[in-house]
Amino acid sequence: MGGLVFIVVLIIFLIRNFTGKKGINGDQKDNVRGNYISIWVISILAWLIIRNDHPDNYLALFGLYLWLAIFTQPSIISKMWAMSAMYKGCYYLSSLCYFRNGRNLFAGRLMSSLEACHRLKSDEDKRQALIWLKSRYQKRKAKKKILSGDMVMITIIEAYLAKPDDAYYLASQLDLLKGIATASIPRCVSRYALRLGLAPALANADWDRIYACAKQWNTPAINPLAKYITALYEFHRLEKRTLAVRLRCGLWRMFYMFNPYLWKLAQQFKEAKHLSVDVESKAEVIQSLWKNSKLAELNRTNYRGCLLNTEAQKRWRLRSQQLGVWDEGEAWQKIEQTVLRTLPEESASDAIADEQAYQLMEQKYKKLHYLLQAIERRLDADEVGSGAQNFIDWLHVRALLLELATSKHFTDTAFSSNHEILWQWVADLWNVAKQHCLVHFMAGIFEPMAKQNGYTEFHALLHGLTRAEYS
Amino acid sequence: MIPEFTEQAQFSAWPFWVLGINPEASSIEVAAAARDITTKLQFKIPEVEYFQTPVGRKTRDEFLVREAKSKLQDPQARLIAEFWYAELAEPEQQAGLAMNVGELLAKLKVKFWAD
Amino acid sequence: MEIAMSKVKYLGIDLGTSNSAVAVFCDGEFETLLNSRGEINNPSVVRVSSKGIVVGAKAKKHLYTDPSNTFKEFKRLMGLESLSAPDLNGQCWSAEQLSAEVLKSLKQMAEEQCQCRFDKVVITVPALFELPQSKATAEAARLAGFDQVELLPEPVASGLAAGWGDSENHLAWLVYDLGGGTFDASLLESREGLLRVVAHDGDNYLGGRDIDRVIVQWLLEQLEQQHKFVLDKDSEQYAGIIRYFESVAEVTKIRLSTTQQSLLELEFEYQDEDYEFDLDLSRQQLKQLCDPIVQRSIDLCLKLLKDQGLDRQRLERVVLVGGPAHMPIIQQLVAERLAPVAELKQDPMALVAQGAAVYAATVKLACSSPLDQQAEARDQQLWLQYPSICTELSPLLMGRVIDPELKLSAVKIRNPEKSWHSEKIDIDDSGIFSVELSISPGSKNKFEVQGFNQQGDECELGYQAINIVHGMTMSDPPLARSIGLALADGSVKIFIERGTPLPAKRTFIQSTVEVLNPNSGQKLEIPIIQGERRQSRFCRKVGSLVIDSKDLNQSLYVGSPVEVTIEVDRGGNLKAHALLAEQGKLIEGVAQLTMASANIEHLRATTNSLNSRISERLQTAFRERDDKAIKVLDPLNTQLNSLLRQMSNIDQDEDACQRASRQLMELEVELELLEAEAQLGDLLEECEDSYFSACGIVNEHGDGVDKRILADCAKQLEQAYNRLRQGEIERLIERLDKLYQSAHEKSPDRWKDNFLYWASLVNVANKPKRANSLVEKGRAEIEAGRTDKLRGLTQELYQLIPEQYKSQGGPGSHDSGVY
Repeated sequence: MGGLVFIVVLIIFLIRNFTGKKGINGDQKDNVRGNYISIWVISILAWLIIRNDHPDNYLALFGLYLWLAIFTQPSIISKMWAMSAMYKGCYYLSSLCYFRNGRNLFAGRLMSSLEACHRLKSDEDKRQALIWLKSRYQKRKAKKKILSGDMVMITIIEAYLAKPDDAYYLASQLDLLKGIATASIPRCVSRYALRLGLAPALANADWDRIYACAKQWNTPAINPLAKYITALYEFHRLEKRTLAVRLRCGLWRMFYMFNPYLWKLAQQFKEAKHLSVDVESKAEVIQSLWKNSKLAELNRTNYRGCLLNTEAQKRWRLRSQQLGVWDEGEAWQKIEQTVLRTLPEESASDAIADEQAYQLMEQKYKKLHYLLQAIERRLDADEVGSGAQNFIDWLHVRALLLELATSKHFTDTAFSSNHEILWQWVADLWNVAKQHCLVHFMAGIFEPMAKQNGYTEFHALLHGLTRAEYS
Repeated sequence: MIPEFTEQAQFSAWPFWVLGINPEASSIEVAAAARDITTKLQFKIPEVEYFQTPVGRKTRDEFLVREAKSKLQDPQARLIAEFWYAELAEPEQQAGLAMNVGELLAKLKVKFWAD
Repeated sequence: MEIAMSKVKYLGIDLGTSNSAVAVFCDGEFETLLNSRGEINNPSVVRVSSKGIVVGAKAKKHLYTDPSNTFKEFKRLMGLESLSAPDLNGQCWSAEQLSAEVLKSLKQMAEEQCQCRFDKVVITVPALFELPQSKATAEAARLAGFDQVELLPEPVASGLAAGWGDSENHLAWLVYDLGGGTFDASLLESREGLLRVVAHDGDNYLGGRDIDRVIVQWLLEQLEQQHKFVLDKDSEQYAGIIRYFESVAEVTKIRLSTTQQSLLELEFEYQDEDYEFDLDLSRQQLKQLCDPIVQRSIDLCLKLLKDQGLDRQRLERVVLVGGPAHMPIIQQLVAERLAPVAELKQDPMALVAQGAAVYAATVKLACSSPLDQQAEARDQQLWLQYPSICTELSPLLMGRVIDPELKLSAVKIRNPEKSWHSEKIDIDDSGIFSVELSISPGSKNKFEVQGFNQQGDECELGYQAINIVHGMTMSDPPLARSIGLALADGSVKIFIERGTPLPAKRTFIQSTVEVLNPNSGQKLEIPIIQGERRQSRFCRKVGSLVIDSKDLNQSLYVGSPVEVTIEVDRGGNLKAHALLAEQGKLIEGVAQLTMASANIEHLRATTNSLNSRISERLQTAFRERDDKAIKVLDPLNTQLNSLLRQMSNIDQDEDACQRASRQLMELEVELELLEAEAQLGDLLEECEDSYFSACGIVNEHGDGVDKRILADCAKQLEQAYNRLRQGEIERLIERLDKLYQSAHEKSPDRWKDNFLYWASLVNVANKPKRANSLVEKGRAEIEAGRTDKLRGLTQELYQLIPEQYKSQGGPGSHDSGVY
């Protein structure tokens, strides 16, 4: 009898789940948690009833106990499966991990499965597993909306497929997601993304980048490490002495226990000479250039003086004679060119002095042109495409726009020549495909560009989109 | 050819790193070093395929070794390589933080492809 | 204990257009092989007779008497699709097959004289041979029975031979190789025992043969002037008689190297009549005739020096290589205009082959007697690596034990002749050992290996003999022409630059520009080209990678990365593959192309088209009194006129067609450069016009943002004037046009202008009555000054206009973006 009651209630739950009121952005987080709690309660009740009514029905009891174990602690079971590299099981089981992934269940599934993939032994197996995951999100997001958590996971999976062991590339791809709405990113995803972005920045001792990374992944989902790093930086570098910052800084003691490696970070923030590296020897200049080109830009006078002074010129002319270079003057000129190329004179946005640099930019501009033309052809054929595909195209566009950003000429021209295609793309994604989250992200990036280039109507539209509430 | 080396002038000293020599090496030593590494690569001696650079450990093959030798035999290219040469810092000297990204990821307890 | 010691030899072949030579390098010395007539030169002539194939001097005798079955000067046709006319057996021969016959006979001669089986060889090729030509040469060698072939540029080979044994440092010197059919120049530097190839250049259609042709042309003119004798070009005997004249010209040319005057005695039969003519030709006259040819070769040398930043005064010496290069008139001109001619110890006719043989030793293409080869194959227990030629006195020897049953724990190396021995060297766990040897300068050094087991007892060992020669080493031969990909916008992405040492491999990541869906029947082609031009249409296509849609698992979207790897070896082989990382697909294999034969009709059409373009440009230049353009166009016009005259005589001569095709392409490149500059001028004018239009409307109606953008555009316009980059100017024009539109949008008359524009199309409206009514209303509002009402009217009117008229610059395509 209890079993029958249980089944009836379950059916009612399922019907309610699929036909219930959705949240403003289509997610079901409120419904999902409430339903989860309801099922948990009902499961306990069913257990009590069946235990009393059928104390000898061991099969039913076993089934019920098993169900309770899986259902009430799905994330533990999922972790166990992940350790056994059962990525497909993890993918399906993680649907039940509401507390962990409630913000974006699908992203949570991908994350869980990715954790399992990492346990696979061979690179080829890992690759095949990632390809399988890719097929999952391509299928799932063919018609459904793509949310921020999905975007992060798609970025990570695509980066792994493209360059599996390149941590710098992965971090650079995650950088492209700056500006994304973060409310719906599950905590496991934001924590993972934070660490992936931190490692290269720590390797280069790039404090500003560490801070930017921590701020980016300081999401509404609990991400203590991000909060801790942000607070430390603001306290030591920006000298914010608010109570909130102090309290958060107090967290470092707790983190020292779990991340002993980072205990020096506070010290390093305190001691780092921000934007004022003075190097005197040529070797130091060169080593600094290897590590941190941003510092190089800000210290260009100092660096240039160190590398290209009169004595250096004399020394290298003499050396060129010893080596048998035919034209010493030309040899010194070539050395100068390499220095100037590394340390641009003018501000980054206007510098296209070097022909080689210009040609590289020209190629990137053309790449962007071809990409947008293909998008335009697709839109003209009334095929908006899946959310996943549009997101990947958007990442390519974003990456190219960032690369072109060092030249104002190219950036402005790229935007103004293609703003109609971009407008149509945004419109179709919003109106036809209903990809509001993705459009919100795109609008945040395009808004300043539209303003700068004087497209007031487009700017007004984008401004409105960025003000809407999305997660 | 490694793109960073050709695209960024501050890495112009790459032939020295590939061959594991410094600017004091004579042309005979350059040829000998190239031959030595090529032979070891043919013999598949472990660890010979890796070499250290400021941007981490990279792999080399006989094509890269040949190009490095050719660069150092060209006086103009050698001059620029010498100009940009500086000693590679030991990873442990990096203010207590590991230089190697892989090690950092392990310390941050995050699973990465290469684990 | 007996140690297997074999006498290894290294074979080098100079496969020339007119003559070929063979040399062998053994124990540190060259030996140039002589043919049965005691000559170094073996004519590169093949004759098909009823008794079989005949090669060399015997075949050359029949050049005049049996021209249809006797083939010569096929080197310049290597890599072409074209075949010869059918011989007496009805077979059509390719240049590759003919070269294989020549190589076969040289191989046989070498094997007989040296008692050695030659299965590996270094063959020289012209410095500017393209990949299909190099590949064809390697293929010819394989047809001739060689298992392993490496190719070496001819001037590099000469340089190596000329520098061999010369211990002096020569900072810069030039090899001037004028052969029968090709001209090559190499700039070399020798320093501290290293011979470095700095750069090379040349012309694949410039050689002694051209001097012969010029003499024949003079001869025909003289016959007409002096004896009123004219050959009919349509006559069947024409080709044969011209060949006879060429052979007489060649003999006369050679004779004038030793005398000041020579008599050309012509005896031939023509149209059933016997003719005899005698013509006098002096060395001075010959000098005048071949001055343009020699000057062209010297211009190439000077360009080579200039490209490398070397002043002519700093050139130390010139080494002359090739038969025609030793004509006194050429020697004199080279010494006057370039640098002093070097005196060589070696025979200049054998220099190239000797250099090839030395190079074979450097890359260890060792050959030995059949008995020795069998013994080596049987007894090989150690794999030894060491330099066979080196400059240092302490080369490193590394070895590995390859016989798993051999229990070796240590080795000792000794040189019995010099009483030197090393310490006992332990062998590590992976069977590897290394030891520094000691060699004597300037000589050959032989070493033996003694092996010891764990008990310290000596063991028998089988290994290939260790011979090290102390001498000059050479940098790796460089790639003659850059190799890359043709991109979608017509530009070139260089993968392997000219001058890169071979073998070379490069990988770059490109992006797709089209969508490729699986099983759609479409293909995506990645063309591989060779050349130095920035535009791919001026480069030669040497292969392509093809991604077939049937090989895809999933769609390949625009912007998908494709990792392309190109590899070139010294044997002229091109390998390429494309990796689709996202799909894990590897597309291997290159669809190799042979060079297309030049089509005479296409050549004539191209020449005529170029002629009219140049004439038009000249007329414009004269009209505008553009002296700069006239200065550039005049020589182009002269060259083209000379080409037009040549066209009338070309007929089916493939060699002449190829040369004409190459000259036409160069002319076209020059003209394109000129037109691009002129186009640049037009673009700048258009840019200025756009700027002034935008200025007007922005000052009148623009807001702060528009004015800021205009100021920015003004700065960019100034930069555009300085940098003169076409792409930059085109983008600036686009930006100014958009700025104009943006400012115009703010104009209160904007809707009035829009309305009037669409009103002008009322005749083509879908609902004419309604459209007319709207137009009348609109006009009334304009007269009343109520332009704010025009927006709605314009929008309504816009809806009535058919689609095909809307793309002609109507209002923006998105009036409202979101609904």
